[in-house]
Parts: sequence; structure tokens; C-alpha cells
Amino acid sequence: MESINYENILTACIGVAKKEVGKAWKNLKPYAEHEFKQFAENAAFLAQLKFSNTINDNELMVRLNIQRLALNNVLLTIEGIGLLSAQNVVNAVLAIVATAIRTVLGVVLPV
Amino acid sequence: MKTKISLILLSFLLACKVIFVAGYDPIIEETATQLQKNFNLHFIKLSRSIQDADPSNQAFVNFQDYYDQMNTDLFVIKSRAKYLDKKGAMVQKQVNNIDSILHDLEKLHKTGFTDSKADDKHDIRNNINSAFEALVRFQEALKPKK
Repeated sequence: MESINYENILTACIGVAKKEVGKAWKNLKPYAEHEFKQFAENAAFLAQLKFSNTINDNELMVRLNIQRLALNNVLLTIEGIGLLSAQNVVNAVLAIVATAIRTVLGVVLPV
Repeated sequence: MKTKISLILLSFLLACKVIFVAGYDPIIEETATQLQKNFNLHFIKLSRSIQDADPSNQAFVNFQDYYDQMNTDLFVIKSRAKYLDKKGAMVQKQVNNIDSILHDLEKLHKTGFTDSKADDKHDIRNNINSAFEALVRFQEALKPKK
């Protein structure tokens, strides 16, 4: 029986991880930056409205709560896409190892 | 013996697919998109009524139809999210956040909006759109790839 080439498996696994994480970050970075900038601007706008007595305390609290919940949704998406990327890495690594074992055994199995 | 172990390992690996997070539902995605569209139409009309010379046209009662439709759509989206398994907890949380946000808006409107040139309420529009876009973006990422 042919032996397993661990070096090749490791290189392939690292390559997959780098690609997946890099892809996820590349997609998330502009989104996260845009959303965080907008949240900061909205908070400054609300502070200005309160300072000029345009809105009362109750309205400020409700609008800040809307902002808090919206930010929570954005953070959940960023965290979720990060988890999906980790999930893709793990599954790709499992597939690489399975392929290596299959090659060594010389068997053809449906994937 | 070595071959046997390798075969067992191979069968295990082929059967294995790790799932950390799930929760894609086409009805959730579609309803969220519809809710966002309806909200933006509502906001344009509300905004116009707050910035004009008529102090009474922004009354809650004039927008009752929008809130009835909003509550119907929220009922649908929450019902769908309720049946997601625990790997869909993040999506459930996002749907619950949207529900709370839109009910906050409804409450705020019920207390009454006064005409104001200084306050176009764009923070409300931006935040609600951010909440929807986050959910839709996550749904797109969760969608099974063909």
C-alpha cells in the first residue's frame, strides 16, 4: 500500500484555510467599515438633536434602541459569515484527507 | 489491518460534513425583502408628511394600512424563524431584532411626530435598512450553493 504524503495534505489544508478566510474577510471588510461609519454618524446626529432639544428623552431612547438592535444584526451577520467560513475550511480539510486516503487505497467511492 | 482502519476512516470522512451555523429559509429571505421594500415606501411618505407645512398629515391613523401589513409580514417571518433548529439561532435573533425595531417605530409613531426641518429621521431609515440588509446578507451566505 502506498503511504500517505502528510506534507502535501498539510500544504493543501493551509492553502484552503488561507483562501477561505481571505475571501470571507475581503467580502466583509467594506461592509463592516460602511456599517460602523454609518452607526457613528447616526449616533452623532441623535446627540445633536438632543443637544438642540429637537427630540425629548423618550424619543432619544427609542431611536438609540433601534440603533442598538440594528448594530446587533450587523454583528450577527459578521460573526455568522465568519463561522460559515470556518465551516468551509473544516469541510474542505476533511475532503482533502478523504481524497488522500482514497488515493492511497486506490478505491473509487462516490462522494 | 492498516487498510481496514484506512477504510473505516475514509467512510467516516466521507459521511462527515461539519455544520456550525444554518438557518436559510427562502420565505424568511423573501419576507424580509418585502418588509424592507414596504418600510422604505412608508418612510418616504412619512418623511414628506413631517417636512411639509401640514402639522397633522403624519398622524398614525393615516398610516394604519402600512402597520397592518407590517404586522402581518412580521407574523409570517417570526413563524418561520420559530421552527429553525438551534443552528439557526443567529437568524432567529436577527428576526426578533427586526420585530422589536419595527414595533419601536410603530410605538414612536403612535406617540406622534411633529413637523421638523431639522430632524428628517434619517437615522431611523439607515438603522432599519442596516438591520434588514444584515439579515438578507446572512441568508444569501447561508443559501445552499448549487
